[in-house]
Amino acid sequence: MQHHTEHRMSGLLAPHNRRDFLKRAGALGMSAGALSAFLEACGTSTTASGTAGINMAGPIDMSTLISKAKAEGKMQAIGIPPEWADYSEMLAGYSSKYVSVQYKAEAEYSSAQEVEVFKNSVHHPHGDIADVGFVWGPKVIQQGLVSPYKHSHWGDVPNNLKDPAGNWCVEYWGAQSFVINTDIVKNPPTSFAELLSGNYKNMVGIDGDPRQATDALMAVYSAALAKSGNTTDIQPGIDYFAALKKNGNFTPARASLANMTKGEVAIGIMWDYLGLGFRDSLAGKSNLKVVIPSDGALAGPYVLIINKTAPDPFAARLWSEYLFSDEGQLFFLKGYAHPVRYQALQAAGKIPADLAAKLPSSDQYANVKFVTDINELTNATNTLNSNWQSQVLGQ
Amino acid sequence: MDVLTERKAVAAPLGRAEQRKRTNFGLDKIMLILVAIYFLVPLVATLAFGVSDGKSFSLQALASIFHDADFTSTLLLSLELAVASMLLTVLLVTPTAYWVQLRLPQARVLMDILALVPFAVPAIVMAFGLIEVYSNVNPLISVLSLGLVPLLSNGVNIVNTPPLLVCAYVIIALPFVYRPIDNNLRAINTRVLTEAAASLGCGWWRTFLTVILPNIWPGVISAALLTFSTAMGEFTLASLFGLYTFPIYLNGIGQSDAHKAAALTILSFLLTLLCVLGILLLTRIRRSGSDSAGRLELIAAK
Amino acid sequence: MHVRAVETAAPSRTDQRAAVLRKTQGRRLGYALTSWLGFLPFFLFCLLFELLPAVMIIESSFVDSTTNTFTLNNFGRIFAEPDKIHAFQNSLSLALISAVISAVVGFLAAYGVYTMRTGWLRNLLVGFSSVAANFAGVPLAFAFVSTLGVTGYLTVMLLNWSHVDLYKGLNFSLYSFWGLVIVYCYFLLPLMVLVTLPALEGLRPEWREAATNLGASRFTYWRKVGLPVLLPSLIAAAMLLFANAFAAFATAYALAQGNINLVPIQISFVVNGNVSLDPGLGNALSVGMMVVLMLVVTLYTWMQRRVNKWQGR
Repeated sequence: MQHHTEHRMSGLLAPHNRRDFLKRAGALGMSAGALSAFLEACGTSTTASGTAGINMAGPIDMSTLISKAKAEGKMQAIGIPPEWADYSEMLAGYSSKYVSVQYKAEAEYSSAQEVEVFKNSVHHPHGDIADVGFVWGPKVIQQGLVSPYKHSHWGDVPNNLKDPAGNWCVEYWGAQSFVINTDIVKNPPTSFAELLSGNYKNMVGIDGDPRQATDALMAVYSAALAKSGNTTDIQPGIDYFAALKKNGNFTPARASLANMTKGEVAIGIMWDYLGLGFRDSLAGKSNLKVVIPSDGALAGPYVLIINKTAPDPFAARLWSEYLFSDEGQLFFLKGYAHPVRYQALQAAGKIPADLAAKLPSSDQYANVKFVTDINELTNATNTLNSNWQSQVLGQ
Repeated sequence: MDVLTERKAVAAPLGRAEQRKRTNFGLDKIMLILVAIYFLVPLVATLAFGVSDGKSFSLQALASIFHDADFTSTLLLSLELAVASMLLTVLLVTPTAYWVQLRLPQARVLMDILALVPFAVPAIVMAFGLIEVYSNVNPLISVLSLGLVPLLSNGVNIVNTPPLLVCAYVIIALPFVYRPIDNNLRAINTRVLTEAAASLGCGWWRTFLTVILPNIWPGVISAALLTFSTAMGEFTLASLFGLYTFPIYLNGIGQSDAHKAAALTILSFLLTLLCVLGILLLTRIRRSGSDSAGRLELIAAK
Repeated sequence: MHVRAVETAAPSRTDQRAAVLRKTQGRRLGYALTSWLGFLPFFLFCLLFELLPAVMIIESSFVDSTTNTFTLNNFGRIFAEPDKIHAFQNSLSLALISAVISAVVGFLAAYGVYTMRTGWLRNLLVGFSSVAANFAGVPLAFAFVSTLGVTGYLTVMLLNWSHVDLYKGLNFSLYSFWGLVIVYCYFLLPLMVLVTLPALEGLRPEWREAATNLGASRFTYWRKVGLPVLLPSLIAAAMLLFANAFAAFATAYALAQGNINLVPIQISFVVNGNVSLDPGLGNALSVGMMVVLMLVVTLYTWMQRRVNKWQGR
């Protein structure tokens, strides 16, 4: 009897032991395979190994980090898709050097879902780090979901791409580009203007719905930049796509890998690193060409955030260090994304020439602009949410 | 005419050509063939895409699937979840449906409502609801659940675990499960059968297992099959609970290799079909007596 | 003791009756209690995993997401913003049309399966139906893109062999309302077949024989005997299809993102997206869906009761 209540009490106060789970799962007749799967999924929280005397917000030296992280034993990465900007090698590198990463179940999460995970982690800690869109940085600070950490290369990051207190930091960015299937398209467009005026019936697609996907939102916003020359209002972009739909060039199909492989979407407007990745994976089967539109393209930064109630706080910070190290940043470059420390790395001569050659030439990136004003982004989102359905989709 | 001849026990099954010669090749058979075409064409298209690599026939996508460790682990997890859901559903709903039919007709309306609420709440909403209920402490919920929710959430800690997912699958499948079983219970004369068994000295459980269950077997099987395939193909809940099941694996592959994803889709369809057919076969072997004998039983009971 | 024995000598008839009544009332109460007790496990299960999440959603729909205060604004927005109203209209018409088409065709197909004599083929079709009924979402969307998309096999075949251009000539698009209807029928039809088959087994062959004996044609038999008997089950099945189609989300989103304005997609934009986060609005939209479906359920129970009354059940 007393043993039973002790079990209950210990459940409330401290983490469970495997025996507990085994007993309960055994009652449900689960096999060992599923057991280990759900033991992992449970994310049993380890009591935070002593943080006394360590500044959890400032850079922590690698040896302490590694030993503490190894004691924690795992890292839970939320929203890290392996096919995105060469994250697969980043994950493999981290796992082999330090501790294993659990990322598969939550790999394709949207930013909102990732934030939900952090929100629900308060009483049942789950999820250490997340990779979210730029607008989510201020949101998660406001909701009190993140803890700050300034990695050791903090100074290399431009001020407009990081939170002054260290709550979020841009890891990489990409630019909006046209990904063109040259087997189908004989006269590839090089600008938004050409895309609208040329004969590309049922060929032009964006990467999802702009009310849902940042990639698609930035495509519309880039069109606005191309048309009006500034980023104060997204309405010109909405008008552009309304015109594109009217003249029959626009297709509602998503510019996903499957659709681009099939040729269902012949010209996809999406992040350059995605397009370049598609180009490589389809080499020999379909021929894709990636160009940055000459009349305007926006950059889309993604930020790293660390969960306030992370079950493995040291492993999380170790990931941050790894990501922003030379090795990590070069993985992003290998995945065709621009690492945030690109300037610093270039100045230090750390970028291999062959890697730099694989990206589109730097003059194509001359017109790429950043939108880092949260108010501008919020206004753009609100305008789009109100007008996209009625003006472009027509219902 | 056609129903008469069908009902007679016939020695050898007729081939399709012979069936066509009969006058009963009516609208229903034409519709069936059209429907069959409608179902097969997209599957064939997916298969065609899966065994090509953009230019020619290639089994490389298929081969890479079998070398993938995640394929077997996620498939096993999904299968276990599906079997667990199937068993829990049948164990929970069938006795309750019988009990309500027999002893608690007043609760029938309540059962109907409970079995239809999952339809009113779409999967994505249910997922968020479940996560909110069990992740965050809410005094209203604690009171309404008579203290069970905090117990499950903190004491047993079922948040984001397979048991919670299994329970969620049972709820999602509930409308599909209750309807066939209830229909079947109404079709047979439950009360008479029970009273007859009682008069011969059977207790409640014995009556249920040996008299009622064999008679409602078609309904139970229908329910079990639907639960099984629901659990095998369910994506939203598993994704939000952070459990790496087969549909999530399939979705992930779709993001990185379209041909492999297409091949995987067909493979999973065939595998689920095999499992379902296996269940069907097992239950046919278990059943003693043919359809017509069972039918006679019911008529006599009326 | 001696005195007591004299006093309680012989209980009167009324006393006896009262005692018996009390005992039976006690037993009846006990019977009722145990009856409800038997129902308790199932009820508790539903409470924990079905009712409480619904309560949570309803509660959260009255909360403003940014300020965490009580508000009716979320519901106000649903009526104020035209695209939300259109979403409900589209969802309703999509669900209704798909359900009706699938119900009619599915019933005929179910009858075809029912009257099939080759046992193994029948089992295969039943098995296939239960798998196809859940073959929804991204795989289904891609299967149809492969078939009827701009570069789909069927589209290309039609273009090359019979010079029929689906997209440019006939102005057809898979990514439109009617394209979605075609795709939805793929998982609604098998569901109809599976739910109707047990009901068809309730049709007594003796009725058919009797009707034929009295000179009824096939059409008359169906009109006067078959369909009326099957009506409750058919209504139930149609409602099932409607509710299933109304709540479906993954397929529509995978196919055309927000091109077709549906309520579950609107919900996903605000709770599941990368751009906005507004759980209050999402929950309010969910409550809207719950209200619509509850109306459908009430309609269905009312219809069921009328038909059952007619059938004397």
